Amino acid sequence: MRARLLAGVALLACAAPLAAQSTGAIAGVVTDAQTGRGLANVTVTVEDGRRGAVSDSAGRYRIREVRSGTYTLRAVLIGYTPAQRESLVVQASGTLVVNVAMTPTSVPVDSISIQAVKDPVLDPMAVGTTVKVTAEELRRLPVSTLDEAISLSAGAVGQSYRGGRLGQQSFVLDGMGVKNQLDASTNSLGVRIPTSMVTEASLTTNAFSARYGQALSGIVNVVTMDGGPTWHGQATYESDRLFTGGADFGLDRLILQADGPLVAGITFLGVVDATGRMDASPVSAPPPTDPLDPRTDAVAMLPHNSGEQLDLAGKLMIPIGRQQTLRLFGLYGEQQGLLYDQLFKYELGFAPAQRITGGLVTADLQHASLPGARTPLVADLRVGWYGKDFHRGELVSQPDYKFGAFTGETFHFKGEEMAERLDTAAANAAVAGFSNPTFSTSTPWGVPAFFLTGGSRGEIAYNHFEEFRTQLDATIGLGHSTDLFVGAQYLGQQVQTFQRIQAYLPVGDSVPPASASDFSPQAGSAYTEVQTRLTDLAFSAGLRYDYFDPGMDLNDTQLGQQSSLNPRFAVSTVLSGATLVATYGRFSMPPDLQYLVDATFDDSTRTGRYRRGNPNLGFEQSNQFEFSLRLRPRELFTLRIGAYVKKLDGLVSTIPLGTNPDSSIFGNTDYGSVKGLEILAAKEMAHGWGLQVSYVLQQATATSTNAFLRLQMPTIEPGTGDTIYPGRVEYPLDYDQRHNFTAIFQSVLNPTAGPVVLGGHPLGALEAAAILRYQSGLPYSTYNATGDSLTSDPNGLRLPSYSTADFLLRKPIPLGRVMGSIYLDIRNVFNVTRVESVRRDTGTPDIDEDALQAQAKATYDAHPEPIPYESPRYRAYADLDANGIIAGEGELLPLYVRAARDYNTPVFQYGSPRLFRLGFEVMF
Amino acid sequence: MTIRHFLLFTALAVGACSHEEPFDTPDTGSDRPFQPGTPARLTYNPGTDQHPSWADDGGSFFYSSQRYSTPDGDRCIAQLPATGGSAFRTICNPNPAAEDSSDTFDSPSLFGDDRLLYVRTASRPGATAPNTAGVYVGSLADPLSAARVLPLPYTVPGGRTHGMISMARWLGRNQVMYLGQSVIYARECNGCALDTIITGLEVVEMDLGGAQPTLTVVPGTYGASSVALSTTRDTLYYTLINDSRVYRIALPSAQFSIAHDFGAQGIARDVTVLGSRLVAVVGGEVAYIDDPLLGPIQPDGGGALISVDLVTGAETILQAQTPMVFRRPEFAPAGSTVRLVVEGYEPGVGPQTRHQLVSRVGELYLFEAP
Repeated sequence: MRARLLAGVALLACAAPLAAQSTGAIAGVVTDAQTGRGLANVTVTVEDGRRGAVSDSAGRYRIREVRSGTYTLRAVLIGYTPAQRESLVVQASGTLVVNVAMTPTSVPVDSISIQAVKDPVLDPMAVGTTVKVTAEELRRLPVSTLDEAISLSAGAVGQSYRGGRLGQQSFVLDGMGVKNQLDASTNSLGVRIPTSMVTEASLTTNAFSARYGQALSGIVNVVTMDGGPTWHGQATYESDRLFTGGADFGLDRLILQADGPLVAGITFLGVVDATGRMDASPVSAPPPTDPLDPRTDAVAMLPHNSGEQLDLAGKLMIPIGRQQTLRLFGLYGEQQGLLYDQLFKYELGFAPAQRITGGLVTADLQHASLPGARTPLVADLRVGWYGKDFHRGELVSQPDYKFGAFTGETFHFKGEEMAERLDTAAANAAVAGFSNPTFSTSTPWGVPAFFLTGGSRGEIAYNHFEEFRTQLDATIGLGHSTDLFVGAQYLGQQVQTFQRIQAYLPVGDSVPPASASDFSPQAGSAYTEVQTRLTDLAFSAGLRYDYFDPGMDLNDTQLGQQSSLNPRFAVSTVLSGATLVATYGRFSMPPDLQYLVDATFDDSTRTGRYRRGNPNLGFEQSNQFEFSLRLRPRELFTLRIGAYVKKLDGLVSTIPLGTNPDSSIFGNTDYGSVKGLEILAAKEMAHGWGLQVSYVLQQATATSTNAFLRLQMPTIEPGTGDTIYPGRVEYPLDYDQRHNFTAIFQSVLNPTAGPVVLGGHPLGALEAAAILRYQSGLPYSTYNATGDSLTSDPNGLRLPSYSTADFLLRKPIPLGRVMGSIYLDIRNVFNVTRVESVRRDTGTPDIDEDALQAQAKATYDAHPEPIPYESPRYRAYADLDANGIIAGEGELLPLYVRAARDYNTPVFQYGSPRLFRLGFEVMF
Repeated sequence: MTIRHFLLFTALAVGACSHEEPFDTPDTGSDRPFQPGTPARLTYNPGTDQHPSWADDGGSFFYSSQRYSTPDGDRCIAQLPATGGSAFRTICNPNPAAEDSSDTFDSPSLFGDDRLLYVRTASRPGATAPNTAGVYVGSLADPLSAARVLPLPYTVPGGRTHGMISMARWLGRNQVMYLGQSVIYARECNGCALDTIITGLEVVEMDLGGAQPTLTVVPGTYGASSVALSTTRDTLYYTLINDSRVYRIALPSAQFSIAHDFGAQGIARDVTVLGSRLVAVVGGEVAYIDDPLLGPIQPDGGGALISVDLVTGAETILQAQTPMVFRRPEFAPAGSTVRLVVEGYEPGVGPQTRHQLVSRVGELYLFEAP
């Protein structure tokens, strides 16, 4: 009965925003505490009266577009004692139901009844499939970044959501869309939002509002906090330096944050988040089998793999009069690091490095109508600039570490200026500064094989992406039952790319010329959406129009723009205390702009294939159907069950180009489907503990016309003996993870919990959290040694399933007038060795023994020359007849075999080892 | 706990935890001969190692080493520790485009710790003579950027043409004494292998102080077959072709004298001096031929090593028990141990190989005495 009442109240609260909004709403009923009748014309406000609504004749009110955060609600009506309630938490895409019972001033007030009913689970208007992480959870859980927090969502595999490819998601930051449209499938956003300034983060994988696009798999919605009314700050330092036994990866992280009022109501928030680690991507690869391999004594940490990043964020909230608010936000991120390259294992200075810098500046001018407006309007005009630069190649000079992995300097690369000028003409000659690589003599093996020195691979890679975005969104209240959303946005983009390989040689013969591009795409959208309640049905309908124009010429022809129309529908109702939601949405996403230009670098060096860019690419699209059931069987327990089907179309793949199977062109040629069942059960945080358990059963299948796969799957016609290449190949998608189980446990002890020691409670207020995960392995294919033919069905094999456990323990410590805490964060507690990828020829991380021997023999045949004692290559242990010279196959070939085994040692096929973080925090 | 204590604890904890570099490659080098002894064999290279030259501090020496790993037969300069071991520096042409030519780096000589002189040539593989050749002077830190100071061949004042130089000895930063040589390609007999016969012509002093080098032939040294400097660089020692004597010229007075006469033991050449001790190659597989077409030539297949006390004139034959023959001994600069590095060859067999070094591989050996 109570559940029904709550649900009914939620319905009465009327329409709420669709999923993936950065705002929520506060709604409820104001009644006379004496009579229980609804009170009209009650002014209900938040934000010191800047935002609010007036109740109707039935006492209903609704405050729209309220940013996520904590508020004080105040209700005022002449003749009644004002009512106020503090610490009301509004979440994005949710409606906080706050009912107020007001007492006439003529009656002594015993208590003021303001009942807040938070029930997003049964909120019928919250139709999206959304998983949220609050600021409190970001702090309590063993997660360090937003990506890690979002990856806890049901069905997430890293940044792949519901079987989607990397890059099929988009970000919404305080209502502003942000996306790396250039190379999201292979690279990062370039900016990171410090978790300490996040109010709430959520992942919506379906039924996201027509306001948002540029995504197929999900929307990551982040809401940041404003500066508070009083000054607060935080200083945090965490490290793993105190740990021994291979657990020290040189981690240092410093977070400084301050927020507070400036003048005239203006508030400021600033964050500095710096992280350095001597091994930025540690692996738990098994130790080498050869005792002479130097990694035998230092298994844990990879050299030349350090990384550092700096994130700076600043925000100003400027109230302008009673109805306008201006928010200015700036985010700068710099991430640079050395990259471990097995080829330069013994001459680390020639291994590559990488630098990614990103910046984001947004301005959000919000206008909200006064609380008594007949037609409430909240409008946001957002203007933003986003830019990202990427560099990879050989450094001009090796970094000088100042503190830990922090270098205090910006990496500079050989050929950097030429690349930034896109000077392909200058790149035809051998580029100054590069030298020819040659075989290293510094290896334990001595033979001229595999390991290089003297020069790098000669790579120069650069890309630049810049976007100017203008976005106008309006929410119009049409009575208490209907909201209308309209808006539009325009994106002006700039893309520059440059790639050169073997820069120590002039272009010609086997050295391809540099490739570069410089073009200015445009994109835009317009949408409208309406949400309304009809008796016991809630209904949402939206339509979004997207277009993009590559801004390129192909054969002197202006290609023009591509367009897509995307409807979104949702119907929900409450039946017997459960909310049933059925949704349909069509989503379109422009392809990564990198597919519009030629790829002669990454593809050529990895696969030997040349892929031609296609400026005529169209949208990648999906149609998604979902049915979900949400229950609250007990007051603190929720259950959500959802089933979905997602049809994918127009996915970018490759088409044969000419007669050479190694050459292809990008096209929108793949399609497939993702089907899944999600079960999410949660016990909300109360009485000192909370638990969330999710399970996803999923199947993601693609139907490919990919040239490479088709040509590798021939069949022989039985009657005629003809070779038939299939018209299409069906195979699991790369992120088809069949089973995904996640359990998140949190607890907070009572401040007086545990034994008394020396007058204190060492276990008092202790916070603990654990994340347990079990995930089935991702699919992969195997090929023959030359990579020409498949030896299994495409993605027909599976990596081993794996389980991990992460743990965090935090103990608050009073430090005089301020509060501190100390915490211990352990990832992969049981140090499970996880296989993340395998070789395509063996299906294991290791090379086949016969292949290794053949590789060694071929290398020996290329260099059978003896090694005399005075040569730096001489290795005494290999001089079997001790005659001062290593000669002949009997003495030399074993060296080549050992070198081959060393070179083929799998490293990045394995996941990360157990990682520790010990943190100290001070908050004031 | 106050904030100050907290921050101090944090700083101490972090500062106490330094980071060592993860796995270092074990040092597989050495600074001692493979099999110590007297002499100790220092090189085992299947190609010929020759023309040793010590660094001024006596801690190492340079030599020219023929590579065996490439079909173009390049010759590179290598640097070994004084007592042998692993070469810790190699000067070669690393350009892959040069793999179709035979490139040689030869006759190294170091002044101080940085100024390096060497001879560099290039030719098609298998060619008889180099297409280009020259004398280069530059920095040891960047030897491939050395400037060519003298082309080869060149003509000295007086009209004679030198096809090669050898035994460069630094007098000062810009003064070098060297042996100018003639280069002749001839077969000793029909069917014999073509041999490169290099014969000394005269001692030349090169002044590098100006924009162009200035060459001055040292008077009285026509027909010189070797040249050496005293430890103090104030006395020039030299030998002449077909002559058993070692001559001496004081610098700069030009006072001439005979340092020693090996008499009937044979033609003296390849002299080196350390203090009052002199070592030369004497006799052995050497011949003097006054060819009517080629002129005076002295094919040299190596000989005995004889040490002379310049004060007493006493002679000592080094390693008399071995059938090996030697060439180009070089004393290390003065130190607590007297060291002599020398080219050693197996004796030639038959008339086709006597007096020639063709088809014979030379290795470097080290003589040591306290």
